[in-house]
Amino acid sequence: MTEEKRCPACGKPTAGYVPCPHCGADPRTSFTIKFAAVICVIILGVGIAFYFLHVATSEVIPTPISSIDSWLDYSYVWIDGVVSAGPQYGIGSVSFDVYDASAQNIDQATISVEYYDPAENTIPAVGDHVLAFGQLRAPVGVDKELRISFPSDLQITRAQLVQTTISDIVSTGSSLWFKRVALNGTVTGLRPLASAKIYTLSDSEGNELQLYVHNGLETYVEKRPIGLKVLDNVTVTTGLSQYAGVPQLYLSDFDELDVTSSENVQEVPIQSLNENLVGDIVKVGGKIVFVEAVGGSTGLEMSERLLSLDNRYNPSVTISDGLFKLLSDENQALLKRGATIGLVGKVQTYRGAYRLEWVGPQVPDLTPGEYEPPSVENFSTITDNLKDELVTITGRVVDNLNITAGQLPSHRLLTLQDNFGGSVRVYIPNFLYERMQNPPLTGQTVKVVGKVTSASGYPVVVQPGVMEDVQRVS
Amino acid sequence: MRPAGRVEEVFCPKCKRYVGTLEKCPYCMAKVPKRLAFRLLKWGGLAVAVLGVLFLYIDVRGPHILAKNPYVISVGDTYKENAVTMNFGQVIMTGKATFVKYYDDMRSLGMFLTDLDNENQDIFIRAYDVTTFTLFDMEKTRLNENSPVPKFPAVGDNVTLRGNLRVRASAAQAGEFRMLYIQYPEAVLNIERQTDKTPVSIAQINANPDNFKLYQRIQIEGKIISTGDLGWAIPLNLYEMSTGAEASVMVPNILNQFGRTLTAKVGDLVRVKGAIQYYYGTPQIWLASWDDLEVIG
Repeated sequence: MTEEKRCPACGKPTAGYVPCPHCGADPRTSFTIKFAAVICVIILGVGIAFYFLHVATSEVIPTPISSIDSWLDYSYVWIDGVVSAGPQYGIGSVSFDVYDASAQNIDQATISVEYYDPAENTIPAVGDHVLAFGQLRAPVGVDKELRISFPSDLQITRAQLVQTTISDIVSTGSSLWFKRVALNGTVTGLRPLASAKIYTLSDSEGNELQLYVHNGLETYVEKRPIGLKVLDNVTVTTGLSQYAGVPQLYLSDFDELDVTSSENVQEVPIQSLNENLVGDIVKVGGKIVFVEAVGGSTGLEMSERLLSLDNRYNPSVTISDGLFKLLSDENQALLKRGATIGLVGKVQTYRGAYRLEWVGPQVPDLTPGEYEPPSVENFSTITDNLKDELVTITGRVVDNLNITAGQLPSHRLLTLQDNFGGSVRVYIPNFLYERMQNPPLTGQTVKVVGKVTSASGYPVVVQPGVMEDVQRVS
Repeated sequence: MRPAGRVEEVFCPKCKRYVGTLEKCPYCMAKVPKRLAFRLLKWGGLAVAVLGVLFLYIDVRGPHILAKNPYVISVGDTYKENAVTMNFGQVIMTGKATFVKYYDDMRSLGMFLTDLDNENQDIFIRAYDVTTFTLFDMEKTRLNENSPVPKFPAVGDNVTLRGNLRVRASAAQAGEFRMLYIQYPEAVLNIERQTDKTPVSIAQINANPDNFKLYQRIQIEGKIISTGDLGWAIPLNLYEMSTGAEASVMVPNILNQFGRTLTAKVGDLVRVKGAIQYYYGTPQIWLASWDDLEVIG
C-alpha cells in the first residue's frame, strides 16, 4: 500500500500534484524558517547600521531655490540664502524674500518666506543670512513660497554694516545689493502705494535712491506715522534691496532712520521758474485761481489736480491723487479756488512749459479765501480769442448731450443760453459729472466757472475744473 | 485529520471535494446547502452592518439616540495645555469668521474662525469638495428664494460648526496645529450675520475708524468710480456723493460660486452691506453674499 501524499502546508491529500491543488503551496521553492530568520536578522542589522551612519554623517542640505518646481509643492525643505527684501509685517505673520544665487536670474533664485507667529528678535532684515526650514508652496503659475511655523526653524546670521553713499550705490551696479548699508541723504519725494510708501532720498549731486517703507511697519509694529518731511536730512542704516533692477533701501525698523536736520528751501515766485531751476526743489506761494482735476483712463478716478496760482498763465502746480489723499481732511477741503497756499515742489518742464510738481511728504500753508474769474455776460463773445482764459458764466441749460466714453458713463455737453440769446457749450467730463450730487438739468439756470478750451471735437467749450465749479442757481 | 463541522456542509455532495464555506462547489458547480443558522449569521451580519452604518449616519445628524451631541468648546480651548487630548474629537464651536476662501486647486473651503473673546486665538476650518459644493448650492438656493438666513459663512459672521478637531502638539508647546474639518454641510449649524442696516457715512468711517469694530457689519451708499481685479476679489472704489469720501468695497471671488457674477459697473450708485476690515489701517468693506449689493441708481 503506497503512502498518500499530503501537502506540507495545509495537510490535505495532493495525489502527487505540485503545487498543492488546495492551497497552492509549492514545496520545491520553500526554505526553512531558520534560514528566513537569519536573513531577517542580517537585513535588520544592515538597516540599523545604515540608519546610524546616515544620522551620524548627515548635515542640512539646503534645496537650491532655482530648482524648486511644482512637483515639490507641500514638501518640507531647507533653504539657505540672503534676505533680499522685507520684512513685510502682517497681522500675526511676517514675510520676506530670500535669494540664494542659484541662478543668474534673480527672480528664479528668490523665494518668498512667510513666517507665522514670529518671536521677538527673530525677524530678519535685508542683508541677513538665513537658513530656514519650512513647507513649500509651489503650485503652477504662482510664485513659490516657504512657510515657517516655528522660530527654531529659522537661523539668522546678522549682516555686517557697509558705510556707503547714494552715489556709490547708484554707480556700482549690483555689488552692494542685499547688503546692510549706512548712508546719508535728503528726502525729496514720496510715492504712496496701497501697501507701502516709497520715499526718494537724494544727495547733493542729484543722485537719487528709493527708500521703501512697508505700511505694516507703521500700522502693526510702530503704530505711528514715520513723520518724515520733504527736505529732511536723514541717516539711514538698513538693507539694500532692489526692485526691477533699481536699488531700493528697505526699512525694517524706525530706529534705522535718524532725522539729523532739515534743508532750507529757496523761495521763488511762481512766475519766475526758469531753466536754471529745473530739477530743484523750491517753495512757491500764491492764490489759487483755478483747480483742474485730470481724470484717469479706466474709471472715474482723478489722477491728478493742476493748481493755477495767481493767474492762469503762471506755471501750474501738479499734485497726484495719491499725495492729495495723504493730506489731512481739513487741508483737502481747503485746497480749492480762492485759498492762498504755500508749498514745496520740484521744477519740471512739461510739453515745453515749466511746471511745479508737488513733492511729498509736506503740510502746505493754506489760508481759506474766495476767488471768481471775470464774468462773461454775453456768451457770443466766448470765442477762440479767449482760449485758455478763465471765465464765470451764468445761463440756462437748453440742451444736455451725452458724449459716449466707451464702457464708462458718458461725458456731458450742456448748452447754456445767456440773457441775450447767445449760447455757449459747457463740457463736463464724466469723472466730474458722475460725482455731482445734483447735476444740472435742462431748464435750470447754472453758474459755471471754467476754462475756455476745446473738447470732443467742439472748438470752443467752457470746461469746469472740479465739481464745485458748477452750481445750480435755480 | 477531519475538518471540524458536518462533513456534508464543507464537502461537495456531488464531487466530494472540500469547498469550505462556499455554497456553490467551485469544481462542479453543485449546490452545497448550509445550515439556516449559518446563513442567518452570514446575511444577518451584513444587514446589521449596513443598517448600523445607516443608523449612525442618521443619528449623528438628528435624533442623537446613540451618538450624543459633542462637547461645545470655544476656539480658545484649543490653546489650552491639555488641548491635544481632544485630538480627533467631535466638537461644536463658535467663532468669528475672519477669512473665507475657496481653494480652486483643492476644491475646498478654507476659513479662519477667531475666538469671540480673544482675537489672537484662531483655528483653521476646512471643508472638502462635496461639503463645499453642497454649501454653495444651499446659498444659491437661498439667494433665489430671497431667504434672509445665510447658508454660506462670510467674513464677519459668527459661525457655529460641528466637526472633527485636529490639535497636535509640537515641540514643548501644545496646540501648535489646530484645524477643524467639517464633514457634511449640515455641520454648519448656525451662521449669525449681523442684520443692523443703519446707514453709515463713508466719511464717518474714514474720519473715526476707531468708532467701528473690526468685522462690524455696516451699510454704506456710493457711486462706483473704479474697479479692479486682485485675483481673489474685485475691489470697488465707492465715492460718497454727499461728502466726497471714498471707500474700498471688496467683492470676494467666492461669491461667483453662488450662481451669479458682479453686474454693477462703474457709474452705478450702489447700496452695500458688509463687514469692516482694515488693510494697513485703511478700511475695507467685505461683502458676504450677493444680497449685500444693491444697485440703486
